[in-house]
Parts: sequence; C-alpha cells; structure tokens
Amino acid sequence: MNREKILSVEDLSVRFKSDEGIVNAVSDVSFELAHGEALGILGESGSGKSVTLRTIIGLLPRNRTDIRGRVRFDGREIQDLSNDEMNAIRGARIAMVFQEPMVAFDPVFTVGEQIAETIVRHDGSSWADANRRALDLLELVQIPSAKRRLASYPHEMSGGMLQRSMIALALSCGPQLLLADEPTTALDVSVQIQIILLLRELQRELGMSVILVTHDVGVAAEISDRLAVMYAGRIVETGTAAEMIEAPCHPYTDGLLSSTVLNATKGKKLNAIPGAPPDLIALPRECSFAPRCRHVQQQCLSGIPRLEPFGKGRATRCLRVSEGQLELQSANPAL
Amino acid sequence: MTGTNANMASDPAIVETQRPLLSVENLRKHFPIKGGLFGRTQAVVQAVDDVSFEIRKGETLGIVGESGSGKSTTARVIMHLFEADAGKVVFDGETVGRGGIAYRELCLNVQMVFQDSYSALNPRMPIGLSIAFGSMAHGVPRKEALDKAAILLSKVGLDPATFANRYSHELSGGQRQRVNIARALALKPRLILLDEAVSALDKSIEAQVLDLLLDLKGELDLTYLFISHDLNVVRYISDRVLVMYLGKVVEVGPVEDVYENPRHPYTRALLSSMPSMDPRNRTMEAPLSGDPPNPINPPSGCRFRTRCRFAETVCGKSSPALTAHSDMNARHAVACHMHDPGSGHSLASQTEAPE
Ligand SMILES: Nc1ncnc2c1ncn2[C@@H]1O[C@H](COP(=O)(O)OP(=O)(O)OP(=O)(O)O)[C@@H](O)[C@H]1O
Ligand SMILES: Nc1ncnc2c1ncn2[C@@H]1O[C@H](COP(=O)(O)OP(=O)(O)OP(=O)(O)O)[C@@H](O)[C@H]1O
Ligand code: SF4
Ligand SMILES: [Mg+2]
Ligand SMILES: [Mg+2]
Repeated sequence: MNREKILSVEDLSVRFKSDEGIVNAVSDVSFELAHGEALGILGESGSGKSVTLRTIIGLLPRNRTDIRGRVRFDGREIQDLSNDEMNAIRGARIAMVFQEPMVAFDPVFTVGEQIAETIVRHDGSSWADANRRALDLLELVQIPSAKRRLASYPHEMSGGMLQRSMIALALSCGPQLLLADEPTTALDVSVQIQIILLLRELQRELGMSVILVTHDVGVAAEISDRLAVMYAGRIVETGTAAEMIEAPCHPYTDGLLSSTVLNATKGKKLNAIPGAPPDLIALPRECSFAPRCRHVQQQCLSGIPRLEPFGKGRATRCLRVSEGQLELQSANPAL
Repeated sequence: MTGTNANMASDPAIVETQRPLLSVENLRKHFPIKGGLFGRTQAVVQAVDDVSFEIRKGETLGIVGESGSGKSTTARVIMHLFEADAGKVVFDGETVGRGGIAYRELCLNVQMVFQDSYSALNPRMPIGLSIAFGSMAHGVPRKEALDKAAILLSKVGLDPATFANRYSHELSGGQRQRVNIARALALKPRLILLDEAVSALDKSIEAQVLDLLLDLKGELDLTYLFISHDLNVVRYISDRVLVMYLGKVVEVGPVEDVYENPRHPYTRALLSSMPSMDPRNRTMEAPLSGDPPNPINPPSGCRFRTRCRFAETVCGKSSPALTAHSDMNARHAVACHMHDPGSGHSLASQTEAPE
C-alpha cells in the first residue's frame, strides 16, 4: 500500500562561504529511497557524501551555509521544519552512525547510561524500561556479555565493539532511516565484515531504510541495493548495485572500476585515471570530469550534463553515453 | 634439461643475485608500559616477537596483518628508529650495528615512506628544498642538490617549474605522497620501506601512485618492502607476502601461493573477510568473530588460538614454528600445528612424518 518513498531529495545544492571563496560542496543532487531500501553513496574524498547526509539529518551549521532544494522525509519537508521539530526527528526517526564511534559517545558516562538516556529523552520511557531496552539493543548488535558491557565506558571497548555500541545507540528509538557515514572505514577487515553483516541483518529484520556512504566499492557492493556515485558534488551515475558494478554507464565509474588492482596483471601498470578532482571553489561550467576523461569531446565542454535516465532504473550524467555515442566496454574485471 | 637447482646455485652470478638484499633474523621489540607511582613497568607490549625474513634484490615483499600486528614496528626497527631488543639486521651481506656497517650507511641505502604524507614534510620549506635537504646534509652542494630535486620532481610526475617552490599545504594528498617518494629517492637508496604509503589516498590517486612505484622500481633497480592492510593492493604489487598476527609471522610465501592456497587459519580467515565485489554473491558469514586480542599478554602457544576454529590443546602449549612442510612450495612456510605432522594436532596429516 505504502507506495510513497521514505525519502526524496530534489535538486539539493549546498554551498559554504569560506575565506577563499564559495565551496560548491553539493550540486543538483536528486534521489529517492524506498521503504526498506539500502542505497550506497560511493565517491572519493571531498565529493560531497558527508555533506549530503548531514543535510538530510539537519546537522549542517546554518551560518555561512547556503542550502537549496528540497528534502522530503516520510511526507514532511525537512527544510521547512523548526529546530525543535527537527530535533524530534533526529535520533528518533532518522539516526546516524559515523566512522569514529568516539564522537557519538561521551567519555564520562557508561555506554548503557548513554543508550538509556537517549531512550528516556525521546520516548519518555521510565529509566527501568530504558535500561531493559539498552540491554536488548546490545544483544541485538551481538555484543558478547552484553549485560556486563552496559557498564563499560567507551574507552574500555575495542574498536569493533564500540562500533556495535554506536549502532545500538542509533537504533535505540527505532529509526525508519539509518544514515551510515563510512561505518567500517576505521576497522580491520576481519571486523569490517562482521559490521557489514550486522548492518545488513538489522536492515532486513527491522525493515529500515539505509543510506551507506563509503569510498570502498566492496563495502558498497555488500550492503547496497542501489548505488549512487558522486563526483565533485554531483551524482554522476545511479543504478542497481549489481548492474553498475558489472557494467558502469559513466566514464568516471568505469575508470575507477577498471583501474582497480583486482585482477590487474602483476607487473603491468594500472589504467589509472589521470589528474585529480576539480577545485570546488571554481567548478567549470562543463562536465566536471571532462579534464580527466579519456572519452572527452568538444560537446562535453558546452555545459553541465544533466543526470539522464539510461535504460531501466539507471541514470548517467554523461552526454556521450546518453546520446548513444559512447559504449563503455570495460566490464568490472573483478567479476 | 641442464641445470638442476644444485647446478644453478653453483653458478657465481646466480649465487650473487640470490643473496638477500636485506635479512632480518629473530627480531624482537617489546614496549614496556610504565605506570604507577614509581614509573615501574606494569606490562609489556610484545609488538614484534622473533620475526625473521629476507628480501631479495629487486623483489617486493608485502607485509599484511591487522592493526597492531607489528608491521610498522618491524619497519622502524630495521630503520633503527627503535632499537631492537634482540635479533639482527643484515644488509647486503653485512650486519648492521655492532661490529658491522654503521647505521648511517644503512640510512643511505634504505629509505622509508610513511602513510601520513602531511606530517612527513616540513611545512615551512618549499618542497624542492625539502627533497634536496637530505643530500645537502650528506655534503652535496646546495645548487647540485636542488637541480637533482627538480629532476626527481619530474620523475614522480610533478612539473618542477610549477611545484618546486610550493609548500606542502598547497598540495593534494596524492601530490604530497609523490613528493615524499621523490625525497626518499634523493639519496639513491636501494631499498625502500613503504609503510601504508598509499593507504590514505583515494582510489584513483592510489592507482597513479602504484603505477609510479612500478615505473621507478624498474628504472632505478629498487627493492621494496610494502606494508599495507589492503590485501588487494599487496597482492598486486608484491612478489612474496608475509602475514603477521600479534607480533609473529604466521605465514610467508610467493603471493600467488599464499592467496590461492593459504595454509594458516588466520590467513584463510583474513582473505575471506575481504568484501565480495559481486552484489549477486555476497559474503554470508564472517570468518572470524570478535576483535584481535591485546598484544599485552598475548595468548600462550599459538597467538591465534583464541580465535581459531581448529585450536586444540597442543596449540596452547607450544608456539608453532614457521616451517615449509613437504607438501608445500619450498618458499612457502606456515606457523601452525595443524600443518606440522609431528605436532600431535589431530588434523595434522601423519603421512609425511619421518616415522
Ligand atoms: N562546514 C564546511 N565549510 C566549508 N567547506 C566544507 C564544510 N563542510 C564540508 N566542506 C567541503 O565540502 C566538500 C565536500 O565535503 P564532504 O565532507 O561531503 O566530502 P566527503 O565526500 O564526505 O569526503 P570524505 O570521503 O573525505 O569524507 C569538501 O571539499 C569539504 O572540504
Ligand atoms: N612507541 C610505542 N610504545 C608503546 N607501544 C607501541 C609503540 N609503538 C607501537 N606500539 C604497540 O606495538 C604494537 C604493534 O604496533 P605497530 O604500529 O607495529 O602495528 P601495525 O601492524 O603497524 O598496525 P597498524 O596497521 O595499525 O599500523 C601495537 O600494540 C602498538 O600499540
Ligand atoms: S596452531 Fe592451532 S590455534 Fe594456531 S592456527 Fe594452527 S590450529 Fe589454529
Ligand atoms: Mg565524509
Ligand atoms: Mg602501522
């Protein structure tokens, strides 16, 4: 019955005033997220992933920041809400986990106290109920000896355990949307895969929608139903994770996937994308990938390409691909 | 059908190329943790414990292992940034330190590049001068050192006219890492220790720097020790790989042998912890649970036993030695009782045991 999307972002642009000039951190970002869907946002450092998440959850500083566009969450326009209304949504209905669990916890209180406190604040439950829920949550995120761990201080926990605790904190009020910003980047691979599986399981069991931000294609592929690739503040390609990884439809994604070390021949050079991303203070009025693109032609410099539908459920911000002039050959060598 | 291995070894040219450029023997580095009123030692971090390996001329040896397994400490002890508690370092046939070649000489031959490209460069020095500085300290005249720095900048793909007078904060991460590599090359080293040298870089920039390392290696006859927690990158760049766990070497061998036929339960778990790149074929089960234990008071016997599915009594009693067993490639060695026919582990095959 519920056909409406849990989240829709429309023409979002975020600019910061800085001493050097205006930073175009996010430009014309639009996407939708269905109930229970997992979207991966993939992009390199500075491409605007975190700023996009922070805008959705209303965590950006308002001064020196210019936010345009619309974010609609569960039928409500986020940008029109007052601070109080936003505070009621944040944590309770939209929750966020970060790369660094230490930022989510206060070092002077135990993990159990902090989870219970969040529950009391948002739900008005009694402390006894909140403490019971905190224990359930630590068990839900599979922390061994959960009961004893409730009384641990953040610094007494290992990296993986703290990450699980932060996820428990984020889940404490049963959010409909979980935003995860590089939740496994700081972890060792053997712990990273545990957290990936935990997030996937929780998403399915609790029917949550998830947006996962990462720069790691492998992590994105493990969790996401759909992927959006960001480059210099713009989404350059979207589609199902499986289709995109198999056959990308934007030269940037294609370049990234075909220059990975996976299956590259030993001793042979990688087909690295030359150059570096553009300066966000002086974005050119052309395809922002043009200076690094091996398929660039005159027409790519005539304006900023739009994100155009490309086949079913996919879209690309490449003029040449949209117009059928360019077929990207390189399938992902890792498959 | 002429040469058997024995014949080849008697050829002096081959003996020469087979002499390791670097060998590390029984290296140990423990860090005391002091505390309490009188600053007494309360505990000891066994960061590196009885580590031995060789690097041959022209090869790249990769070191993998989780955070805290002792990778950086190993490199730093080789560079003499920390003094070893025990063991020795032999460079090109000569023992370093007491009675052998001086550390200063080792420093001319071995250079290190770190992960943190920012803090390695002096913020108040233009990068051309930063690169020239080491040579000047070793007596090269300023003009000559600066000219050489300009050549090195172009070698690492940075136009000297544009970059020589810039400061490190004006560069991107990838550019700074190129400068660090240029600086390491200035003293014409033969061996470069790369400690997470590409780990902080974005994937597209990482690919560029890996390409650069490959070019330089061929052009300048370099040998690399490549430390990284990225198993894919290590597989691509290394000829051989060494796997560390809590300060010990658990497995070493040619990269393809180790990745395709890992023997140690830890290596197996580590490799199958890598995310699948195929959304249609995802990882369904985590190979290990929990975090690596603390290197303070590591488990007795095999240090991996607390997370190992195959652990038996013998694993807690004695520490397995790093050995090439008869069913393995001669250059592939593993430290696990399960692979040692004489150990008494119930899964150890008895077939190759002498009696
Ligand atoms: N408050 C701010 N003021 C000025 N610039 C900012 C601010 N926050 C972010 N930026 C800039 O906006 C751009 C996008 O930043 P963002 O944090 O979204 O990148 P990201 O894709 O999350 O990168 P990373 O992978 O490094 O986390 C960057 O250039 C960043 O420096
Ligand atoms: N100067 C020091 N004093 C005390 N302990 C140290 C010191 N340097 C390293 N250690 C400890 O030694 C152990 C090995 O550290 P090391 O830095 O070698 O690990 P690593 O394998 O390089 O890890 P990472 O992947 O995180 O870089 C760790 O437990 C670390 O905390
Ligand atoms: S020695 Fe024992 S505990 Fe260690 S890896 Fe082998 S089987 Fe596992
Ligand atoms: Mg970010
Ligand atoms: Mg290290």
